Amino acid sequence: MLLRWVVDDYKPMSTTLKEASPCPNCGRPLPLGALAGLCPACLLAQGFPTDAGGPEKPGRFEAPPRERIAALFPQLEVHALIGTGGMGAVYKARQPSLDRWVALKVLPTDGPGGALSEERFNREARALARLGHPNIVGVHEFGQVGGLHYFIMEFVDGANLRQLGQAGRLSPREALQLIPQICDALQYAHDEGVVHRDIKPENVLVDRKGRVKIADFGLAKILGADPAAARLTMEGQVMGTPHYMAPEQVERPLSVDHRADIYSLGVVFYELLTGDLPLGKFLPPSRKVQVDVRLDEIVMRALENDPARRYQHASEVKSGVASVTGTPPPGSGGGPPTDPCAKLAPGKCWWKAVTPVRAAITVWLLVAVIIEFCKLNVPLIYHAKARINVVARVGDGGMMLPAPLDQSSVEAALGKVKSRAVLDLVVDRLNLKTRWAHRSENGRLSDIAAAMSLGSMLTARQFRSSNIIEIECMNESANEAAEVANVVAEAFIDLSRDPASKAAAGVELIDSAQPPLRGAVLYEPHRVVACALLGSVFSGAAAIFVGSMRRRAGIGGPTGDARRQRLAIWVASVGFALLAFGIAFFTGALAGIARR
Amino acid sequence: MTNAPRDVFVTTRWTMVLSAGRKSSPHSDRALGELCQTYWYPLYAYVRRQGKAKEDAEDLVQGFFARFLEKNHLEGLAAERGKFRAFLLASLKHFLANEWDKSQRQKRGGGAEHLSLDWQDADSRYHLDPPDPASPDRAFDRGWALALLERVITRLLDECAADGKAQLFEQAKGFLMVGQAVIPYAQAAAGLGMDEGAVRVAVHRLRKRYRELLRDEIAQTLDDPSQAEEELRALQAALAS
Repeated sequence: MLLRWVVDDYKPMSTTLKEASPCPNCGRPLPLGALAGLCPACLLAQGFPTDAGGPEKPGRFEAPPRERIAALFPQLEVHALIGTGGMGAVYKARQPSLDRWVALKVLPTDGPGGALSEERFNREARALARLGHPNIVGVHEFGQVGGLHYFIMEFVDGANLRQLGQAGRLSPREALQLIPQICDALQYAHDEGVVHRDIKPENVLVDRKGRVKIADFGLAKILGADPAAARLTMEGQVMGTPHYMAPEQVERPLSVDHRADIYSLGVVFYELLTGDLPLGKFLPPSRKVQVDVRLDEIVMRALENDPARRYQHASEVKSGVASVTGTPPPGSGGGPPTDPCAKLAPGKCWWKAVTPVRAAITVWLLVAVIIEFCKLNVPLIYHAKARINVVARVGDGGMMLPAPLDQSSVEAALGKVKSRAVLDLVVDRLNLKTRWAHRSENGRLSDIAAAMSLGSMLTARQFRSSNIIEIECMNESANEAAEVANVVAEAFIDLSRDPASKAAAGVELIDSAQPPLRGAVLYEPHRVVACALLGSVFSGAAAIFVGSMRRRAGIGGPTGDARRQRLAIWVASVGFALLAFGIAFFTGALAGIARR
Repeated sequence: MTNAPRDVFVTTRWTMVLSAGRKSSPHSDRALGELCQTYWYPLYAYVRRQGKAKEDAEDLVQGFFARFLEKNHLEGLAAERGKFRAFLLASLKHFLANEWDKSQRQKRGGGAEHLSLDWQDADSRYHLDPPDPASPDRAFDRGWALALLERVITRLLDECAADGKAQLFEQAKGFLMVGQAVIPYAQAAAGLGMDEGAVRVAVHRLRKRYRELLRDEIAQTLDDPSQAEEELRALQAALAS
């Protein structure tokens, strides 16, 4: 298909067609007609989020091209540059010897904090490599090569909080799931004597299972805590991202302790809840968005300017959040629980065990069982068949061969099977007036009524284009079905041989009816299709319901469950549809064959 | 945000086009259409720089798009598939080398649908561009970066206008080019008749949104959005020349 579009709205803002003037910022000539007087080079230069801190730093680190990194690290397959900052660059790489993905971070040996001695780098890096916590990005290896310091770290397949926030993927509820994990990581590191110093959304990674992984622990200290760096700091060359820095980090960078991380955590928390930074005189979170009012106190206390008035430990923030999420908001009368898990049973929530796929399969089986159970209560109908040859066979003695097809005789015979004479004879022979008397309302059955009800359960048809007719009796009792079919056949034969009848001799019973072993429910194929549709709907609905409950409970991470849920719906509907149409086809096809 | 938030893990426009392959879907067609609409001018300029006359260049780009949109070009060229920019240029070169004669025989408008692009505007624009001594490839990348930025700025302006902040955008757009530390907030506040704190917040948001849109637009042209950083650097290098 060819696409068309109209570019009538495309006007390249070329309203001013003056002489080229230089960019006031960088001095390059402004391209004419472009961008309403904006300088493209300067615009792009501001596209790097880590520049938010200030003007271009003089010694800004340029990320080495991938090829150079690949040459420096022959033991790794360097795949792509995945991030750069003022401090260094990160590449995605694979370690073939261990068959794992790693993140390779390279830093200049003369960082913005001044030249970094190999000895001090090694001392600090060793401290980082000792940190082993599920919520901290692990350091596998570090060292120097080709004028660069490097870290080989655990690769986290996911996104950082900045990206998640930009994509609008984080609700306050999810934020409350992430904060305790950040607290755990911080508390662990602080206990080990390591302060992060640069907690910000870019450094908080979330993998595809919803697990938090904090990156770049202590890197800020390695890069900028010597006296030269302190001087630079005084001169306004602030490292890192000022919005997330505690006030004392800017004013007294030498006396920074772990409580600076708690301030940064407070900023991240505020931003997660409200989407904005706590700049200037800011409102408490619950005044900006709909969150539990008790969270205000926690966030505001973490954001205290005086470290002594802040939370003293990250674990206190966690327990504060836990007490808010674990109990219903005051005065809300139970309100919407922030975490359904917390209400059901603390620590052990059954949503964790019930995945959408499992739910769909369970409901699927349940529906199938119910369908079978319903079948038990519906009376089964048994079909018994007797076959009669209506045109005398040819030959004599032992070898009797079927005569050529005589369609008119067959049709004449078919017309006679349900004739009043045959029916009356059968009613008489089986004494149906008494046997079926209980079926009528007054307990008595007239001749006509008995003959009619007999006729309604009989079908006569030609058997596979032969001289044979098939008398089928449907009855709720297998034995009675066979008995009636046989007696009808006998009565038909007796009447055919009667001299008064015009039919030729040679009418004989080929197969007498046997009580059928299996009965069937009326309209079997329709029933199966209807049940299959119901089953698909129910199991799909179950998958969607469980998926949404799990998302509300924050299980399965930001993405994991969406895929599972889609899979479950697919499994449910495709499975059921296949089963339904399979059964319908086979029963339909078999019924069709039997009828021929 | 006025725009619907974009899923970080979701497929980009270019991924959608790639995965559609020969079987086009309304989604992939629209995605490809949007990409081509944004980036057609760099192609036109590239062809002009190859020495083609105005009419020839129009025909050529038109024919190229017709072929390109028929999906015939999505086969092969495996190395360039990751980036729309590289892929489009490689496809165009291929087209110039092999396909031009064939499509020329069909002559103008011979049954093929034409895209309604603003050729007059493109031509005057081409003449207004400073003569570029760089190689045509570099110039193409440069033009590409400009087209990208135009789209970003247009989106940003549209969003601001939708929020009734067009005046703020006019005053503050210059601040998108400089570091935060050197922004004269007090002066801007006087110009806008606003409180300085409010201007600070508004400019911060505008800069933040600009970066988001820029990254989004870049990611839309890549198969793997995580390479946005690399692409941004490449475009920056193209502009720095």
